[in-house]
Amino acid sequence: MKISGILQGIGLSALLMGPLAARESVTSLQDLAALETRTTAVVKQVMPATVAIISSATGASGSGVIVDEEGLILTAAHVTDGAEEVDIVFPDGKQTQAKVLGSNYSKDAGMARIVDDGPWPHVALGESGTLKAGDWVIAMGHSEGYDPARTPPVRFGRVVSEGPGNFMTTDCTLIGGDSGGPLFDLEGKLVGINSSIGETLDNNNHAGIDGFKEDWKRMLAGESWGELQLNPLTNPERPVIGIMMGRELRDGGVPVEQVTPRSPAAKAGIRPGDIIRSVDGERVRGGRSLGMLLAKYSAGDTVKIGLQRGREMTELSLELMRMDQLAEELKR
Amino acid sequence: MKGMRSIVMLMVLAGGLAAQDVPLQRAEEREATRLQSREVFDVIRPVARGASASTVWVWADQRQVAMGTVVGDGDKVLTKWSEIAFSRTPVQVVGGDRRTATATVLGVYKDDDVALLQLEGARFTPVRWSIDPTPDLGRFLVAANADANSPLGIGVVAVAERTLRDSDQAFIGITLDPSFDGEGVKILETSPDGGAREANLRKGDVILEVDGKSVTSPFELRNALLNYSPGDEIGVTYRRRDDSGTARVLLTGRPEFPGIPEGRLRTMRRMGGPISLVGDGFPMALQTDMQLKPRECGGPVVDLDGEVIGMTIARTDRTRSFVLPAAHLQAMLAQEPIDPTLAQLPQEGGVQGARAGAQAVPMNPRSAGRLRNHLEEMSRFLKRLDREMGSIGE
Repeated sequence: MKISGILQGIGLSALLMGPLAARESVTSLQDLAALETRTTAVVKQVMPATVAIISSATGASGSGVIVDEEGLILTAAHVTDGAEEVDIVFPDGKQTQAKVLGSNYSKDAGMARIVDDGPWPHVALGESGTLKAGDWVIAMGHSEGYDPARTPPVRFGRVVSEGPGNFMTTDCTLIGGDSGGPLFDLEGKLVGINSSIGETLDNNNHAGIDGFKEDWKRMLAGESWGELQLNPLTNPERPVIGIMMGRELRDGGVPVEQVTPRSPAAKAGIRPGDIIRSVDGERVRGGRSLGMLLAKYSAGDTVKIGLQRGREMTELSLELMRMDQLAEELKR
Repeated sequence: MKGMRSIVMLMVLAGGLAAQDVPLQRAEEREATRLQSREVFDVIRPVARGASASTVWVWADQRQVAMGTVVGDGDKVLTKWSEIAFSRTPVQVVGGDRRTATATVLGVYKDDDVALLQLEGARFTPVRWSIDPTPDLGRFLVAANADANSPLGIGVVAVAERTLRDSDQAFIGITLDPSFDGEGVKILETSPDGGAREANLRKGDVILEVDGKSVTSPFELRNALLNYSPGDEIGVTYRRRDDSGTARVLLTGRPEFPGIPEGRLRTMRRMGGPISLVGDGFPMALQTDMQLKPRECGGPVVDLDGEVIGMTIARTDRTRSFVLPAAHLQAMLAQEPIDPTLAQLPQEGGVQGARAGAQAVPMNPRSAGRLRNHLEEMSRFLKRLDREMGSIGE
């Protein structure tokens, strides 16, 4: 966890402390020691199920985690990409084989199943939708590939940002080889799968477990679909309201040029000529900002869109829809 | 084992999006995490206070280049050798109370990248090493600072202590048949200078046991060998067609490969900040996820009880920092260090033989300066090259 840059924040955060208190605050050494105790317990519990995935077809090595006794493995779609069978290596060096099942590339979610009969060590599923900035998490993975001289490194940190969509960002630092490895809450429940990184140390992205649950049956049945897309503004599963944006105004307002029929915007009564000013109270600063604000949500979430219609300000609630589903809907 | 070297790359977010720290972070999320960092910082401050009396800043060439850990009677300091080896001016040591001592290098523990300094002009409180066993996986660690009010970082034990020195890893000198399905592991070929060929093991032999312990997979064989050092002899039970036999095999060190930089992995290692010049190859080290800067290495590390469990030795990359454990440091200090004029700087990444080691001292200050500039330029160039290679790969 990063502690540099803390001091600059003091003035501001002192003002904002009330409503923004961190989810699980650490105000005494006992609190911190309690976190430590939970962390050591989780690590012991989940280590045996944190496996390396090696594809002899592509010669590449990533990570995964076993989630049931029969050896079902969750991983990142980009780890099993291009492979039908993969080698599985446990932290103690034991080796077995797994058959690659389905993937949803838009969520970077993948599945594989160990061929041999279990029982295999496994972890329990948690929830990712409820996670907020400040929630403590533990990331694991076979960093830089399987290394017989060590166990998969433990990374402790917290959620720093929700979204885009099903994804979340933490300050548990990841590197190549960690892809597909697990992210746990402090109960040892699986809440995410390691996916990508940005330049800074607090930009480590994980696919949320809730997204896996949505697509569980299709992936289990071996279906693969979607598009590997890191830019949240072009991900086919991104949540949309269904408008064509006009040229953004100088003050950041985004005029509605067209409203897509049968879209959330159409259902909520947004009209061409309306100017979008805010999303759930957060001010819109241009078209890109509107896209980024919406990317934080998932399809099915209800958001309040602040609109200017002539001189009137109004707020409309609407339920976000997935871009690809809206496109499907329009084809009918 | 060849395939093991290629790693599934985490995808790296494209330029525009990565410009901000966390592009989608809302202001309130930023504030919540900032507040939380402050809370944790307040809690760990007293934890590291005791050790901070034994922590010093180490200055070379008018810059603070490393931390130091006070040992001996308070007149000696351990610090990171590679950070001071190039210094053109005498090394200075500064305590939290701003008292300053001039330091001479008494000796160097080359493999650990540790220099032992003799102080003149000030004494500090020697560190009291913890006598407890090294902390378990997931235990919290705090790096002390000379300034008692601002510890340098917090992290967890990511990997238990282990050797990072290739020469401690024993090799039998065979490659295995990955398609072999039966009991044991099947030899695909024996390497020319390896122990296996010397012991008359051959292609097609199936190794069943090492010193009486059965091996059922290539990884189990490698794990079994981790318990031995180069120079050890092991008993191997094998099957050759319908016969079985035993052989005594002399283990050797890791065969040397030319260092091929893995472009994108190297780029990722550097993502998130500068890394230490020497960050790998230590004979015994504990891995932590603590986020340090290179110049923050060399000082004491405490557990939540304030016990000094070791000394930070490197910011190795984006995910790793290394700590030399207290027991190892004490054993090290019982040995005679080598003369600094004989201590060649270890290679970056612990890769031996890829580049000639830089002779540290003696050297005239001007050519040392040129060499340093050259190295910095070279590393900037390599970094750029990595980036460009990386973007081609995308």
